[in-house]
Amino acid sequence: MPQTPFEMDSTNDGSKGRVTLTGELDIATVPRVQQAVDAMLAEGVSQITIDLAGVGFVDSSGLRLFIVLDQRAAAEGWTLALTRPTPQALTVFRVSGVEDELPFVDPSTA
Amino acid sequence: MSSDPNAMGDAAQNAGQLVEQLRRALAGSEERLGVILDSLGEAITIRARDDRLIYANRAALDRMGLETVQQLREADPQELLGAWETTGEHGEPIVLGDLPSVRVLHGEQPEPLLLRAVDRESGEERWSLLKTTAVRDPGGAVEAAVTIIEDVTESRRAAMRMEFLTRAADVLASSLDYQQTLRNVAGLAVPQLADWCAVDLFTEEGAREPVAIAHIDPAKILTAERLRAFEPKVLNPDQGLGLVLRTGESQLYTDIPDELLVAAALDDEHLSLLREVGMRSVLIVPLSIRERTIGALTMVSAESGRTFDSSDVEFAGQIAARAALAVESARLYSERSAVALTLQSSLLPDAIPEIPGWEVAALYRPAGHESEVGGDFYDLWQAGEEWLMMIGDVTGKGVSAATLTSLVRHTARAASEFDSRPAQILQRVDAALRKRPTASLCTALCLRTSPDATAIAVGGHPLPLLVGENGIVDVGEHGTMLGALKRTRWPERAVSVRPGETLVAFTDGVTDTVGAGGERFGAARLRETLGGLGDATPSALCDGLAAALEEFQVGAQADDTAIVIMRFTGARATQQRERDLLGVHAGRNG
Repeated sequence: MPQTPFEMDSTNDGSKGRVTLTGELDIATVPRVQQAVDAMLAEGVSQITIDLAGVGFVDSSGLRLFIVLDQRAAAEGWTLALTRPTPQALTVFRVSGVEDELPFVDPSTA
Repeated sequence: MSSDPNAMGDAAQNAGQLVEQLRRALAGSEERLGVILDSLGEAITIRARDDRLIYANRAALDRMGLETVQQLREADPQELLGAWETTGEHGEPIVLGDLPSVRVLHGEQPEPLLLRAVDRESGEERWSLLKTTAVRDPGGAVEAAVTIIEDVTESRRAAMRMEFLTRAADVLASSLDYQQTLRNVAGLAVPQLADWCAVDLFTEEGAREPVAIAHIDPAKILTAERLRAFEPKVLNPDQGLGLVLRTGESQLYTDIPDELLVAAALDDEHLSLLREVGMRSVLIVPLSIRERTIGALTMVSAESGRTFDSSDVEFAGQIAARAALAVESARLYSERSAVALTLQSSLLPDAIPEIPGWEVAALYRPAGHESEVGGDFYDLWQAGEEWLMMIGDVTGKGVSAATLTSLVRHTARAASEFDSRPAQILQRVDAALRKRPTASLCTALCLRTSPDATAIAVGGHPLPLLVGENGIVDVGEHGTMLGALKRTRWPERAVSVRPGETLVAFTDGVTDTVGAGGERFGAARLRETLGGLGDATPSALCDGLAAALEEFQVGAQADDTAIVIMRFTGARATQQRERDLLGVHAGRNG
């Protein structure tokens, strides 16, 4: 199964931001997502949605990214939402026991 | 510089104006002419058709070391020029016929000449720009050549030094092998800045450690190496390198007279080698980091005949400062690598302990830079009757990862003293991680084996594989990752391991290893590999897995990988059971 090259698209309107990920979220690509989120926060964005519909693989560093972002959101007063996880990604969240902890939202509300 | 068309145009114009001035001056008295020309800062000469110099202003006479124009007129032009070692911009020899004034007299229209002249007597080096214009008779024939000689020593040196520093900066930044870096810097310095350039470092004991020596002629390097053999182990603190080491200050030996060599020579052979080098001038500058002198840069002028001056000291100081910094960075880097290795090994057991009834092997492959500590770890230890194995993966790299790993291992070991159930150990580790100020996440698998039973609990970690009679199967049940989650659960599961069966615990670095086309090694391939290795011993399985990962992997290893393989030999359990049986038997009999 050849790897889809990792791609990231981030847009924001000044208060709401959306990061759309495609490809594999792993130790190599996690820092880029981290940077994109940091950049949005620096611009004053207060609601960030991460769209996982194109993410077929998440490793432990990807998992940690979401846990850390979730904790930061709570501490820093912004909102994080994760949406449209693929079955493969969901399995990783489930076996790590974090599925219920992370702020997954329904695509219709994201 | 000499190829700049504007400069050449200006030169011609300047010379033209000068000739005009001369014409006017000649209309008056010779005295009046002399006053005008002598007041100029630039050196001016007039050469006649027979190549002899017939006039020089004060500045020109001074540079030639002459008192009067009369002396100049009597001098042979070859001899006059011969007082200097003359070369062009690129080191090519310059003879009388190459001078613009001589070429003008021979009907040419030469470009201005950039000339390097080293006074054979004093060793002083000067760079001059020579611009010549013809003085023609009414018939248009060249009667004389007027040359303005501009001293460009300062700007020329500044340009060369700037060029050197630019190249040196590249060289210094190019490698963390500081010995090679210093050799490259020394190589850059010759022959433009010095005939020889050497770099020595000082050991803690104050001994000299030669690192680099450069000369344009390799044969000369051999001479230098032979000379080194004569040097004492301990440096003389009152001269040369020893003095630089002691004082941390530069030493400039403008002139090296033969008497000095005679005084310094240990024997005749030494003296003849010293003479062979033909040192004219020596400059030694310290390589210093903060207040500490770690080495020295030595520049020697020999066959070029020039002497070093205070501006050379200053410039060599700049080179030395950069070189010292490169050495320090390289040293810090290698120290950091050493610290990381030490730290890393302190985070893993020194040796795999002997666990009765089990045969154990482990594999650890840290990712990336050797200067960084990885986040994977494993540990095996005894708690009372039981043995515990833990394998895990903490967030991050480097010192923070090392701190976390250490915390996890110590917490787990301490917890096992009170309650060695795997789920309890994970709970304790989770609690310890939560107390940390920053999000500290960890995946871990904890296994406990007692004479009768084996149990595991898993926190966000890949389930281990059991290789045995039923093929290769996952064992245990997933629990939450440690360190951050609100709702936690670590279901503890008993694992039935029969003698001859093998447990394989690993971190996700194994299954996440990236191969060709971005494909992951994956769980299926791991099972396949293990299946293919058959009934091998744990250490053979580790080797086999390592080889498979190595073969599969494309590019640099992205993540750490750790594997612990435990085969149940059953020996201990069997003995235990036999003892139990004997005990029961004896009880019945008694």
